[in-house]
Amino acid sequence: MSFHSLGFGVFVAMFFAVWFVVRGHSRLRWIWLIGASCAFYGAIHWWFVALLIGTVTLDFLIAIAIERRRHLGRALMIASCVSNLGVLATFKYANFFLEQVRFGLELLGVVVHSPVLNVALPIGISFYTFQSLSYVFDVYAGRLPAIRRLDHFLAIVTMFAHLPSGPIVRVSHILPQIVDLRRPSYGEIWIGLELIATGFFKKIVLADPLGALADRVFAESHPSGGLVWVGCVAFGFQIYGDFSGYTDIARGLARLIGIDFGENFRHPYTAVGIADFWRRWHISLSSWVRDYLYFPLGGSRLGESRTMFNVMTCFLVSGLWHGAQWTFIAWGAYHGALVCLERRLGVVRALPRGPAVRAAWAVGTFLVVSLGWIFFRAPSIAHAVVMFSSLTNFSGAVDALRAGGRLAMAAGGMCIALEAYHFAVRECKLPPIRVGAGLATVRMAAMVLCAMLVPHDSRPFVYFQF
Amino acid sequence: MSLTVREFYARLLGVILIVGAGAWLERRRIPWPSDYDAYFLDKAWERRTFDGVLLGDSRTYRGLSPAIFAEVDAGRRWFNFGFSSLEYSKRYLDRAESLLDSASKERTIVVGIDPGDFCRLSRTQNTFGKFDELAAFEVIGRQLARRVGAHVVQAARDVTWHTDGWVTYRERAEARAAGLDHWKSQYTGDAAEILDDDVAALTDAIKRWRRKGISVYALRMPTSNAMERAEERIFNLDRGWLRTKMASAGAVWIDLPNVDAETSDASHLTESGARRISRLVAERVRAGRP
Repeated sequence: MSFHSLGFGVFVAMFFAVWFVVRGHSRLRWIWLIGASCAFYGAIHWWFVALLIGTVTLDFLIAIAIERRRHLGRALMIASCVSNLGVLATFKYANFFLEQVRFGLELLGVVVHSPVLNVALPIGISFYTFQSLSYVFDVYAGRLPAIRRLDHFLAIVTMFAHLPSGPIVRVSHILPQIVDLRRPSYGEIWIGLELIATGFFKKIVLADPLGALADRVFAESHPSGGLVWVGCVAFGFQIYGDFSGYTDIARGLARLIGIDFGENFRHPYTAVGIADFWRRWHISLSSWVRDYLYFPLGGSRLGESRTMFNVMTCFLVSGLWHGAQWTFIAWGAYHGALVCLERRLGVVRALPRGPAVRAAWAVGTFLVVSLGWIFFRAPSIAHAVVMFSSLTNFSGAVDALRAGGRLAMAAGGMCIALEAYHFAVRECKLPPIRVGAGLATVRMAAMVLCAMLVPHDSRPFVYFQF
Repeated sequence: MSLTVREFYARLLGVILIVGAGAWLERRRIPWPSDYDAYFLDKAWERRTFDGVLLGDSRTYRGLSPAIFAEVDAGRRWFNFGFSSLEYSKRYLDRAESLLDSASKERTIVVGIDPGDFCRLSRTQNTFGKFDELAAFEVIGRQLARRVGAHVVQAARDVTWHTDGWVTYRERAEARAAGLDHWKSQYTGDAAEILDDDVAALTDAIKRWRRKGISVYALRMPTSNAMERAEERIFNLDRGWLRTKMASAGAVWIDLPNVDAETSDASHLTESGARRISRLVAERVRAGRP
């Protein structure tokens, strides 16, 4: 059940109708939140819920055991890794790995028919396994006490707002808010509603029309260079609008409950340099990888070549996290190589402070990141190579824009204008536009109206597949 | 951000008023679930049981009237479980079987076949699956939206949605040539490939139903001569092929007369044509019963 479906509207209305009644009751509210989240998740497949509850409960017990028996902590932490990553490997990566084994054997002249695991991929599995795993790591490292109430832990991990596509909210961030749940103020409720309206606007008005344009480009077997550039930029803004829109809806719903998830995007297309982009894009994943993989590997403390190795490992894992395809691994490798190169050359640190140079660098970063989306979106590596090889020929761009329609062009223009505004506010120290009560009301109404009236074919959220 | 109760409700009221006014002025552009969506959603989620069920695609739901079946065969309850661009999936066939009342003395299934149902295009479109796989929340949401939408958008006036699953359209003279062209434009390339799996799914289901004592009748849904010729050319179809397949699975095959003059858009029967054909098929079914 997608966030932008009528069914989800009904679900949310039913949830909050009861929530406002039970939220004052310290146990009943969590039972209701967990039950409703399971009903939401189970509407897809009931066994998804069984898997979710099973893995989460196991981590809950393991964390308590780690705290009680410190001498067995390492073994218990490894057990949690095996169970979480085992589940992830089985449902998400088994067919990919079997296929690689089959291919490898075929190269050696051994022809085998690899079995195919024909099961549906549980939605959000990559998000909740990482969330649950980080909790066990934190307890093992002594950064967080083990949670003693299962209802609290289940409420954190199964919460419907972040279950399908994150953000990967850290237990350490959310636990204090769960333990001491505050009744949201009217200001917070308004922020929540604004976030939800913004999310729908980003998804329906910005991302979907651009998605239609990107789909057309990526469906071409031999697109011209101009077409590829248009497709990359369109997809770049589509995935940004889509994923940050989803995140805004999730954050808005959580605000209505009384919980703040924190930021997941910080205007990534205003980044100056690739490393800066990763501090702004999908922050919950990049900070997870930094804290639980990059730092334990040694970070940047063990010399330059080891740092490069660590960076590449993190980006390859990050790419693979998105899906069991070589295209995602190539996307991770592309970004890893760029971060290493940027670090080696030290160009970003040496940039002058003037906004003009930084703006030029930000445009360059945006174009390089956009090209990277070819790997992410292309159906295969071979197709991505075909697209890359046509980049120097700029023909077809105008036709592609025309074919995309006025809506896609307007959406693209709006995305560029918004990012340019945020860049100017940050880099040129321009005062941000203050919106009064009247304008805030009109802005929210306009976003809702646009989302209702813009003609669109409903597209699933891109990150629902991860 | 701090807001007083009054400020909060003033803002909320402002949003509701602006959105309400804008939505009312532009009400025709809001994508409310159409009557079509709501009708077939209800059909996919049908919970009543019957003595006989009519299966097939739009040619069936527009061509066979359960009311006439009930009239010919007094006292028996019939339902038309047809869906556009139908794929004979196991799920559809099982759902159709579940609509039969297990207490009925003579459970009957009539399959109105359109050769296009076995094509890749039907599998891709799979209209039944799209309605059947919706979560319960989505069904409630669509039905609520339809109720609200019914007050602000005009319902389609040229269609009658019967509660027994039959659908009748007001006939339009110009639709015939356009209908054939539209049909041909859909079946190009792989889309026109007949899938043996889907044929086997139906014949296996017929065998299973026969073993359970369910009477099964099959017919090729009548259509215009031009459409029949186009089908045979595009699908490379032998006229006897369907009859042989269905009969060997255990279905009683029903041959029907030419209806060329009684089709509205080259593909579907007119309302009067549907009434005549429904009576003919119902009489054959009644005659076939012991």
